[in-house]
Amino acid sequence: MATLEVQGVGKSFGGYTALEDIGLSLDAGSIMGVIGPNGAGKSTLINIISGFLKPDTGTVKINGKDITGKAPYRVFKSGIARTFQDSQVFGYMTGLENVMVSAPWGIGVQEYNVLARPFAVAREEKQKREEAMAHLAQVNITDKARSMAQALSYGQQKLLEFARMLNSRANVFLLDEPMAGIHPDLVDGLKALIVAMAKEHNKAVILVEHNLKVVMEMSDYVTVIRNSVLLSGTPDAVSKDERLAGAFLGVTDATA
Amino acid sequence: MDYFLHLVVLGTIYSILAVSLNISVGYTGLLTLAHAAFYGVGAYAVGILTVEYNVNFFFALLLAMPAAGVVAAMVSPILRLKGHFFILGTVAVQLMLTQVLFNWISLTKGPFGIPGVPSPVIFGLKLNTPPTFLLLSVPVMIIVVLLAARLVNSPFGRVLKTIRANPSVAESIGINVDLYRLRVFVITAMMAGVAGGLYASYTRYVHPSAFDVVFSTFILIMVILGGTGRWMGSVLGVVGLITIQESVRFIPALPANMVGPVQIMAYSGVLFAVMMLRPQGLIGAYKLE
Ligand SMILES: Nc1ncnc2c1ncn2[C@@H]1O[C@H](COP(=O)(O)OP(=O)(O)O)[C@@H](O)[C@H]1O
Ligand SMILES: [Mg+2]
Repeated sequence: MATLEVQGVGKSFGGYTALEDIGLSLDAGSIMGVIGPNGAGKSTLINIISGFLKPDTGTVKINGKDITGKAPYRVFKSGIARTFQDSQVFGYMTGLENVMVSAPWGIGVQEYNVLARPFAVAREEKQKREEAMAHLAQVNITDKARSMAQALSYGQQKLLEFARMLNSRANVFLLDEPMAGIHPDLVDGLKALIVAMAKEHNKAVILVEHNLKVVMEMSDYVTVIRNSVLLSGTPDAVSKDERLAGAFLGVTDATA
Repeated sequence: MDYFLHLVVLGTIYSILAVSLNISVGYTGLLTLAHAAFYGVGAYAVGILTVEYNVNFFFALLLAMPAAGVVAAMVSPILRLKGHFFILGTVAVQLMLTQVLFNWISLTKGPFGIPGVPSPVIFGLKLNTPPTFLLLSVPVMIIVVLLAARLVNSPFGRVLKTIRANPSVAESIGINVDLYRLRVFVITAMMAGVAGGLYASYTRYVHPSAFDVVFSTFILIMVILGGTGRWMGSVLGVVGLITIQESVRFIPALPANMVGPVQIMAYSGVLFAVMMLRPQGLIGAYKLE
């Protein structure tokens, strides 16, 4: 049984069919690269898997459990965490708080425990803080723990969002163009981190990227979509396939 | 001196209102103009229970909380409205509850109000003057404000802040936004209910006009003046607004019948000025947008 399984997913906006009969399946410990030109429906697919959009047709399953159309917070609780293409951080909260919030479990998030069991809540907080600091360290922004997120640069916000996702204990990561806007010096580190998440921490990763070369390097499998699945397979097979060039034909920004 | 202490008593009651409203508006992003309605429910609960049913004041004050909480839960379907529509929904709730207070005569006595609410008695001491009432209202205010401060500076409060900042991103990290909104709406209504109970036993008279949309606006202005997202700001906002209100009395040659209208104009002007010049209020955590 695959960790994440998408079958026959379709979605239209008004009369425009953004996605049609999309299928893919992904196992723990592997990275699935999803590529396609601008407007191909990559972000729409991420939104459907994460519960932000309901598909018109098809199903999304995690470990065999159907989560199609479930509210985003339920999808998260079933073990799927995501990042957003345009980084989404909580502006007037500190870097540390931004990471800690992705652990919305335990006793401290309930108002009655906050009032009735202050010491247990404090102990839990200490542990959550340590975990969050460790995840800030993984993306090299521990120095931003006390800064307001809105004061960070765009790239730093993306890293912060990434740390928030790492902190979530999810086992499926949906990454919507995680490298876009990141300082070139930091890209290699981030790439290595994503690979390590899959290979060392056994996460299942969907990597939406516009940079073909990066996707081919990092992924175990690649799916090329342009409203529907054009081709899929190992990076080697896909890069040799002549249909790959066709996927981007007629699109001005050929690397998008 | 007694007049000054009277203002201090009002300040303690308003602080409970403003600090609780700040949890909704400032921390959770639920901008509501119905807070006075729940304050009124608490006041009427104490008025009716003590006058009609001879319930002990302190017991009635405890019951004022669930009374306001239940009414909040009853109108909570408005939480399905988002953004500006939610604000309009709260105005509708406020206007409706005011009409209920005016017209449910068998329960509320309608426009006659409920006179003769007994003063609280502690250890044989009747709290029927401003200085004696402070013996009750100051500790109650301190308890409520400390509980509120504890709530917002906790993991629970951190969840609320994410909802204010961006509800859909909050959902993406596992937060059941609708459930938290409901909890905040009910909890803060309960706090307003406590304030209402104090008010009823302090003025010994409850009347629907004390809990109208104008008063809801007044509480909101205190929160915005002090600064949203900081509980201390709301206490400052209360002090600030009472000071502004009372300064109006010192305007030379202002006829007595103009004091009330000019006060309303003054605090409306404050709202306008704060929004234009300092949208984060005196010490707010962020700029209202
Ligand atoms: N909520 C929406 N409403 C209407 N159209 C949308 C919506 N989301 C995406 N689209 C459209 O669907 C198409 C696919 O968009 P998207 O998934 O963002 O593409 P990609 O991420 O591959 O660049 C685009 O034409 C976009 O305009
Ligand atoms: Mg996209």
